[in-house]
Amino acid sequence: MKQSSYKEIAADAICNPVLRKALFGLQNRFGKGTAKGYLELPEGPELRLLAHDIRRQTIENLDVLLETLATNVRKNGGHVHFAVDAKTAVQHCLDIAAKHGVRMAVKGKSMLTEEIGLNSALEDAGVEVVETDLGEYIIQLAGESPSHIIAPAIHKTRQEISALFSDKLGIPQTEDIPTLTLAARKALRKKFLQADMGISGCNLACAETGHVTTVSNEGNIRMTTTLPKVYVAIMGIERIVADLRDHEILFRLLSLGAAAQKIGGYVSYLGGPGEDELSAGPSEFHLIIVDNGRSRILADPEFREMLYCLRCGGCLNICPVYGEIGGHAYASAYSGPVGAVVTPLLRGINRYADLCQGETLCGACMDACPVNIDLPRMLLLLRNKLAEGDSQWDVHVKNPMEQILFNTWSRVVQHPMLYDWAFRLARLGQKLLPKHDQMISRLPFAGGWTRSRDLKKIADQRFVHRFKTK
Amino acid sequence: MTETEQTAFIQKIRTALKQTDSDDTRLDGLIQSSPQEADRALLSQIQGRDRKARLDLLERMAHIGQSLNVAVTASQTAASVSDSIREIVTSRDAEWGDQKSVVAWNHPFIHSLELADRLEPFKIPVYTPQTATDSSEARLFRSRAETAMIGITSADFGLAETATLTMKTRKGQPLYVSLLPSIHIGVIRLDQILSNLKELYTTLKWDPHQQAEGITNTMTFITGPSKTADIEATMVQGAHGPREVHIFVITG
Repeated sequence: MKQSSYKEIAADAICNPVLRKALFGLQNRFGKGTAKGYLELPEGPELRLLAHDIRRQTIENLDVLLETLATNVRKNGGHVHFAVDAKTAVQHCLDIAAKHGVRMAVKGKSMLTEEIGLNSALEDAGVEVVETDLGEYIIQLAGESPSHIIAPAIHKTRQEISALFSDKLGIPQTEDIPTLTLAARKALRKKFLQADMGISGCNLACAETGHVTTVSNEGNIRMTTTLPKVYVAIMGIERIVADLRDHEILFRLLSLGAAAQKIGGYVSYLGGPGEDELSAGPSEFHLIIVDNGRSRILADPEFREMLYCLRCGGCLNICPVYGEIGGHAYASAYSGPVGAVVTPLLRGINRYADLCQGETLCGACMDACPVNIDLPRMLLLLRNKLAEGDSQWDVHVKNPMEQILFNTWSRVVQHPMLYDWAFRLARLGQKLLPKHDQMISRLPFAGGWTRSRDLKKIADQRFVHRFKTK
Repeated sequence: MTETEQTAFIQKIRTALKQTDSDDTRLDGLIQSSPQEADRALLSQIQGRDRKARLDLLERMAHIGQSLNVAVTASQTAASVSDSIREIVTSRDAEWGDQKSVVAWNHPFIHSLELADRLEPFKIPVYTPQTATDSSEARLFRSRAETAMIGITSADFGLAETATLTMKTRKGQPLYVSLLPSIHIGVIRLDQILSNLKELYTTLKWDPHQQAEGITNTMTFITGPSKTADIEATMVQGAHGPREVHIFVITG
């Protein structure tokens, strides 16, 4: 099955008034709320710069921090697994499920598990997988993919959800959002109580104490990590902080970036199995640490900054491009500006060339980022690699004809005689081109460029000539 | 197997970073191992807080709680907390079963509320786990929590700036008591209120008692009822966990 392209999905989204209204509402609420939250920080918005520094130091010492985390998780009685790629990560999880004869797993929302395709692998192994974040649950029932990191079902209307719940959960159709939420509450409660395994992502693990941490407002992650007898946390190598002091700062910023909150509704530090059945918690605790292309990003000092990302989704809530086209055009679990950089780096720069070229470089994402990541710089750098090719990243020149044209142009502008002759020719040539209001309305070989723009005619006399004769 | 897997994995990262050694001294700069002057100052500021300052924090907590749908109530005595809880129990409907019931932590502070006696006239049972029992009793308590209407816990700290309760895991105090029932009630003393997250983390990290205990296998921060905005970005309370959260602060 051929997937629709970025341009096709984006074009459809722009023509979908319901989606655009939803995206406007989302950005209006969270985008503005986050900006206000930064200004109201006791330390002032400069805290983001300090956080950037913390992230830089952390990422530059990932090797020792991950070792420390693993040692401390084991000290707390947990198991740690390392996975170089998606396949290994999935296998670890399948092995744990098989060992415990797991029949049903409940999941907290995790973009990493989307990235590695965990759900389908578990289902193939006969394990029922239930997404428990309301948004993820909705798109799982609908057989779709998330369109926002924090609000995965933002593209769906209450009417669509009503029809879906009526079909899958057997409730009467209703447009009342609390009633719809209650239906999911009841349906998922059964799953929480029956599940043999809980799976969640990780917001930021703490190396010092050996805990993974999760944040949610719904409480679904607390259910997932507390009730089933086996708990598996899955984290990318970069989702770590050194100590509690760093945690305090990054958590506050993460909550602001994600949902304009001072603190998420539930924050949990999960460090190992419950001591006994009476203090409760899972009897087995597993942590899977996943690379899957991240060490390659780490090795390139120019892209390393991407690993500072906390995946709060704050940049989606401000990006003018995301605000128009929604998340599906980005073709991965990571949408918006973060997706436009991280997806090409993880999956191939040529294959996902449209993503960086679709962004505007307006810089809003950098201002919205809780750790001040220079996304526009990296978007430009990706474009540069596409224009000139890059062997380290296996990038081939995206448009060789464009490259020839620009090389020729560069030679022409460096030779006045050549330049002069070229323009004399062009001045004659433009007489043959179709015009509209004294402007050229179509250029040969550049129809895409002139489809929505007109080009000014070349003046009869060059500026230098007019300057001399004045 | 896991060990070689880890070695190769970490080596790949080390190579990417162009780090040549596994020098542990790098950790010293990353993980703060002794309190700085500012940390000590903050700790003594917290410890030296007088009653007036603590009551101010309580007032702040109650104010912030309003915007987060957390009902913060100051109570002179344990008895008045029990009265308020009785009021909540009798005025709400059961959600997960036909019979109203309460599950509560095994905690000296909660015992002092004498809830079982207070609710007995209404035929509402109060279940508390024992600290040393077998696993069948543990399972029984869990099943009671699954159908309970109200879960009552204490907490380690309350944070005024965010109306947050924080709790570590201890025997006889299961995590799910604050999670499974429809309503969560947290009862704390006035001197357990801190101002904000910074004070909390400083206390967790540098207070000798907290340091010795560690943050246990699970530490949870609870701010307000369970909520979601996943359908059309509209906020709804009671997504999976409690739809109401009450904090009682005993000031006497």
